[in-house]
Amino acid sequence: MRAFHSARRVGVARQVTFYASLVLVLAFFLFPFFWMIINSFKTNERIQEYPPAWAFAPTTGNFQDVFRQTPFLRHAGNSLIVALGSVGLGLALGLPAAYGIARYRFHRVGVAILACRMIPGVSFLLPWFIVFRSLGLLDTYTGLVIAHLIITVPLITWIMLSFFEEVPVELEEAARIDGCSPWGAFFRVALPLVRSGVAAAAILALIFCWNHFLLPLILAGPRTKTLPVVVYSFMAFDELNLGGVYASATLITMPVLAMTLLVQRHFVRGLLIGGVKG
Amino acid sequence: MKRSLRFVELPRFGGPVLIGILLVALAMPAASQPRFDWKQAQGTEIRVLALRAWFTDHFKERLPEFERLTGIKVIFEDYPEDALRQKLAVEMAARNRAIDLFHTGTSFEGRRFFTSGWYADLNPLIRDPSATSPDWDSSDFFDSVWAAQRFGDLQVSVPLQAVTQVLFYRKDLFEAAGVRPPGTLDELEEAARRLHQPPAVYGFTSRGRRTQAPYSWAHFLYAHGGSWLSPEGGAGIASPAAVSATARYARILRSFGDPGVADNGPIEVQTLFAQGRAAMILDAASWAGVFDNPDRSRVVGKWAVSAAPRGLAGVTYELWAWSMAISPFSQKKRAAWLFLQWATSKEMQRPLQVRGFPMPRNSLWADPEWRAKVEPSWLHTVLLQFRTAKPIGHPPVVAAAEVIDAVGTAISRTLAGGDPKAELDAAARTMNALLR
Amino acid sequence: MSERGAPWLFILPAFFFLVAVVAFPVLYTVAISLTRWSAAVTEPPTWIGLANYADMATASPEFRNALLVSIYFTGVSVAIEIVLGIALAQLLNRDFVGKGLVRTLLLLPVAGTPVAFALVWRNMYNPSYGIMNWFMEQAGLPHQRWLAGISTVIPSLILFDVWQWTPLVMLITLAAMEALPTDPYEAAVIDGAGPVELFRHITLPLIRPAVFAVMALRLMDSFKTFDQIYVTTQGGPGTASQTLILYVFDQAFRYLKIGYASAVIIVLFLMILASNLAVVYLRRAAA
Repeated sequence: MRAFHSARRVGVARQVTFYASLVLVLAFFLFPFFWMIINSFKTNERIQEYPPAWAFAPTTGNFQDVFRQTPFLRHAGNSLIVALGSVGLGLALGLPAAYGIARYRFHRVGVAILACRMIPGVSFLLPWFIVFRSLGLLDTYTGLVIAHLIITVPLITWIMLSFFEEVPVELEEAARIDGCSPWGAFFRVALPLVRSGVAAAAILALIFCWNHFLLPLILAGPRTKTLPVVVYSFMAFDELNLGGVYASATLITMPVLAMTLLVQRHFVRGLLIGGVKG
Repeated sequence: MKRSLRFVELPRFGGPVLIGILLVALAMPAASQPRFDWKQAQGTEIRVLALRAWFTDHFKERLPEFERLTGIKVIFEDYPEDALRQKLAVEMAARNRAIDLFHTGTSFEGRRFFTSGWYADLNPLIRDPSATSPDWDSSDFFDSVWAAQRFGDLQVSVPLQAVTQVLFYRKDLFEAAGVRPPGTLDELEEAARRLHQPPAVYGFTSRGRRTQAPYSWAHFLYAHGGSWLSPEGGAGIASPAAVSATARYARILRSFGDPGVADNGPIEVQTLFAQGRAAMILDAASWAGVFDNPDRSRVVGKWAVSAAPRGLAGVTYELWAWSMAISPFSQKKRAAWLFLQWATSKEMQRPLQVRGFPMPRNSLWADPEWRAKVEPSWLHTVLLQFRTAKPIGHPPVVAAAEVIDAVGTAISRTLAGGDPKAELDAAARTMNALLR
Repeated sequence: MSERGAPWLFILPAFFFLVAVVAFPVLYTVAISLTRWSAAVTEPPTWIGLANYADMATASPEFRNALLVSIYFTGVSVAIEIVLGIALAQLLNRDFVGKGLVRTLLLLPVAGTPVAFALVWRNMYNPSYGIMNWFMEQAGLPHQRWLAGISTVIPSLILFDVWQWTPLVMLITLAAMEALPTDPYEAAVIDGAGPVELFRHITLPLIRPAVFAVMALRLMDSFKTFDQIYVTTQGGPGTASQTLILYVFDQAFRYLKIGYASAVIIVLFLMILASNLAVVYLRRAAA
């Protein structure tokens, strides 16, 4: 299809229109990032100027504020621990499940897992809060990792389902004939074939975990608070520290964007498989 | 006591010097009173669920002193107002033992928390000489503010400030336009009209957000002769007085407020005035500290204060205060109390008073250093209002949040052009259902 | 691992997860939705059957408002995202220099943290000093109240949502377009078809499965949109942007009416389910 289009004659005017539209589209989608980063280097006064200041003396004061007022790196660490933990556990649960559903046609279990995504996160808060409190899991990494499974397991299962369906049964059957156990067929034959899918699913799950706000708002405490909650509480009571708000927004978004840029191939694949085949 | 003052005035890095002086002072025979054991709970760790605010920042800065004094480790968790309330609700509902102290606005949630048993009674601790340092002096607090933290026989919290609503205005703009500060609501409207020069300066702006508007609106309600509850105990918010108050509030804001008024919370109102964009605001007297801070304010020295304007039915000044309470589920009430009294001691509250934030202690208001630099119109107005200000309640019902939201929605819709009577009637229906 | 037991062992861990982590809260919510329970009092929940649901239907204008706001917000934003996403995919569906980079850059709104974006957009929308009004001025249009106007708040939120999620629709649709065969196109061009006909009669029908898939995905997520609205407007001004999920949040965590809130959650879940089923039905009908 692509080749078809580019093979057709396109005049210079159409080329120009195309690139112009492209620039407009990019400008629209990328402007808020530009604005976020620029404003994190402005002082509070200049942020509130109107008309907005395009040229100004940059300051790193806002970033200093953020690091001074909150143990930002520790909270970033929390976000990372919870995300990695939840993705790790999610893979442990979701990979075999996706394989089982694909290979052995457990459609109903599959639907049940995917239906989890339809449940509003809010409905988990109070029951989990009560259970976690009795089990002493509040404000612990364990508790948060378990809670975030509601994000990672359905996502990983959903994406891996399509990948596993593509693995030819013959390969596994051949392995089985050679004396391989079912687990062996999964672990040593199927899994290596869907490596890129695993990468895609894992990265997608990591990013969505990192970005999550509602669960840590209620279930985390001072020790395990994650970044989105920290960023939100920058909206102070008696001072509107806009510079700090922009700076912390930049700081929290940068790792995710960097991750995305580095692994965009996998990210895109994950989205596509999840979307197209889902 | 002299020892305590020295404790506060030394620079922070004089830690060892500090302790040295303390030891010397303790050894002096002049220290005749029995020493209070600050270290009685050392080694404990306590957790405070706090409001993101100037007083919280102050506590956090001075935490190392507390830890040296008592050996107690304090973990602070601060959130903006609405998120704090939500977190508190969840933790209290689940009777979580992990919280020891929390900030509370007794005017708003006091009745609910008291009815639910979510405040620990501080009286036993206050009356126990081994628990309370003799310097703490609970009689130093303003009677009305102290009493506002009492429900039934329980003293539920200790006040962190003493606030009433005053009219902040730009004296430079008023002088330039030849306008006098308004004494009545009609004069307020007129002054706003004269000074309204959008987009540089807005005549008068206030809180418009659903969960916040009723606080500022309440002044108009009282000035028009209305009240939250009717004489029979039902909803009073749909009375003719309430309707006219709402119509006026909405009219003034629609005509002279900033374009974002429907979304304004306390932060926005404060920022607008501090940035010089509002000629007048009617809000918490405690904000003087913000307007005097050259790092945050462009109107240092340009503002003055006058009493909240009268209406046809006179005027009622309301008193409220953020305070700190101990959780009844805490297992470390003694340690929590040590922190609470330290945080609300004269020594800890004095620096805030000097910075311009009104503290609830009589002795601090006589402080000469502060008296020398306080804006005279502010002092005069606040003292005047404190004389008659009453803690009424925002609103004085248990289901405060729902009533606030209902009224806030009515105000919002009126602001957008709706009919105040119809909107308030709907809000009153909700309120009556809650009062049953 | 025995032959017979093997399949079950694969799904066992996930199944366990389903039961322990998911089923319990869901059943708990259903159970509580049939009670009157305020978290503010020490009384245990009292059984009231379907009274909460009845209240919702007859005695709660706020619920009706939340329902309408949800439908307005989700309906319009998803519709725009689908149309715009397909249009953008069509635009990008050719070889050009930097295609990979463009695809990556357009991913960023989807990958970023919603809370951070919400704070940025909230400031951009500020009627006094935000840059959106500056853009309006440059375009010769009057200043708007954006998030502070009852009639402009939802369109403002829709714009934000469209900005964030259209790239998702675009990427998925683009991938579908790229996978299409060229034969139908060649045949049609020979028959004299122009670009519009090609799009309408060949591209669109062939990418339909992908479009439906992403529509279902967006519908599901859009009803649950929380961070963005909570951080920007908290449901205001008044209740003009209070979607069902924000309504639930207030009921549960501000008013502590757990029983009633649970009932609303169940209704929200049913709505999400219904919208997904509707898409499945449409997909079958179109095939």
